[in-house]
Amino acid sequence: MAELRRDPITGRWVIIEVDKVKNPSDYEVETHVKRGGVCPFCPGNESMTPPEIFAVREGGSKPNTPGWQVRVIPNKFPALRVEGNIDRI
Amino acid sequence: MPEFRKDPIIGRWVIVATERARRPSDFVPHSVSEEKMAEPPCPFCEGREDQTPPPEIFAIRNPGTKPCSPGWKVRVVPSVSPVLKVEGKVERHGKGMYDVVNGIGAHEIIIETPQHIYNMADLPEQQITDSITAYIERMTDLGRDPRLKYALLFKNYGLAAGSGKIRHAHSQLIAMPVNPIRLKDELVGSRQYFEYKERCIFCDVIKQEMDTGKRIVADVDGFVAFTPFASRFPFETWILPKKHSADFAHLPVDKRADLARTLKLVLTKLKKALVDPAYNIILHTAPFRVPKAGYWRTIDDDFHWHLEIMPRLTRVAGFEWGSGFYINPTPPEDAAKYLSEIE
Repeated sequence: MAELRRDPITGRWVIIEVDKVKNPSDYEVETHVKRGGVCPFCPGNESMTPPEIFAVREGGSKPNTPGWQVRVIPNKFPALRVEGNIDRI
Repeated sequence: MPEFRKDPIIGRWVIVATERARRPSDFVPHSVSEEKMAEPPCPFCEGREDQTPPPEIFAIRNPGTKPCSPGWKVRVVPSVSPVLKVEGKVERHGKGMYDVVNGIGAHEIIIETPQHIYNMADLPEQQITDSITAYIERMTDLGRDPRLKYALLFKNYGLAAGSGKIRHAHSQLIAMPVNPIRLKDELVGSRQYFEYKERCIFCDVIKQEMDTGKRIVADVDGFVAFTPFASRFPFETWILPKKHSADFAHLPVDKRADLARTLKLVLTKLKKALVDPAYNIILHTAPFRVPKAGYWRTIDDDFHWHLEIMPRLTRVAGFEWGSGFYINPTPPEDAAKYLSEIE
């Protein structure tokens, strides 16, 4: 038996199965294929990414070098561009 | 430069990449015909009618043949694992601030051919015409049930489109006691446009697309197929009747073959251009309605039924789920050009 539940915020209905429920073991999991190679996000490989925008670093370490805790870089395949003016055409 | 495009019907924005467009060959080919799996004897094939749950709800049969036996062209059966239940009253109640409705509805499977063929593109036109008749029959019948508000007709072809293991052409019909939100968004958008312009927004879209021509895929026998201006997915294609109509179920008998021809043409083009991709088809049509004071006053004029065909080439991920935006790497103009040029 299923129940239709409404999301109060968007008004969207969802069908929730209450009888023949699926437990964690019922879902098929994609096995992760371990591949070799170099990871561009790991410390030491900073030159493999575009130049960094921001980083949380230990005092003294330079941008685009190891010694960071968190690093922010632009996406190599950006969905949107930073340059330009907004035009509604 | 990527472009934000706004869908005029529901006001949804889409990001379309207008440079470095991905060509059909850029998508990693995942041909449905190459999906390898062990196939058990198919329960949808002619001769195995006892493998589907009884009763046979509807069938187009050769005269003299009995239900649940061979001799049929199209057959409708209940789903093996129905999402909703047919029996019972619709009960709406609240759980604190939350709303719940019990799971009343219908879940039917329309088997579109007695032969073991999977892609609708490969069916003879007459089979598709008969399938359309079956859809209309079932939707009209379900519309007589006062508990139900909408019947969604949809097709999942290929694993990436959410199809199960049965590789035999079929569609599903799920009828429900509430209106689904995607439809609601279109209904609201259409009504607002009509209040403002006193014209059907879909008719205006058809006229605009015919005028510009850049996104037309096919224009045949009173039906037009085009890639929408704000397409959510690469090669998303819509089919609409050129003549205004809110209800799919009112499609005259003599127009059904024309729709079948257009549908077969579009699906064949997609199959050739994208090497047999997985796809979904959904039908958006006006909900079941009883004339009620204040409700559905202009729907016959403001809404226009349409089929949406979505090849499943890309994934919807965190950005799409979080924003309701889609990122489409193939401009619809490019998609239309490839599709219209394919024979």
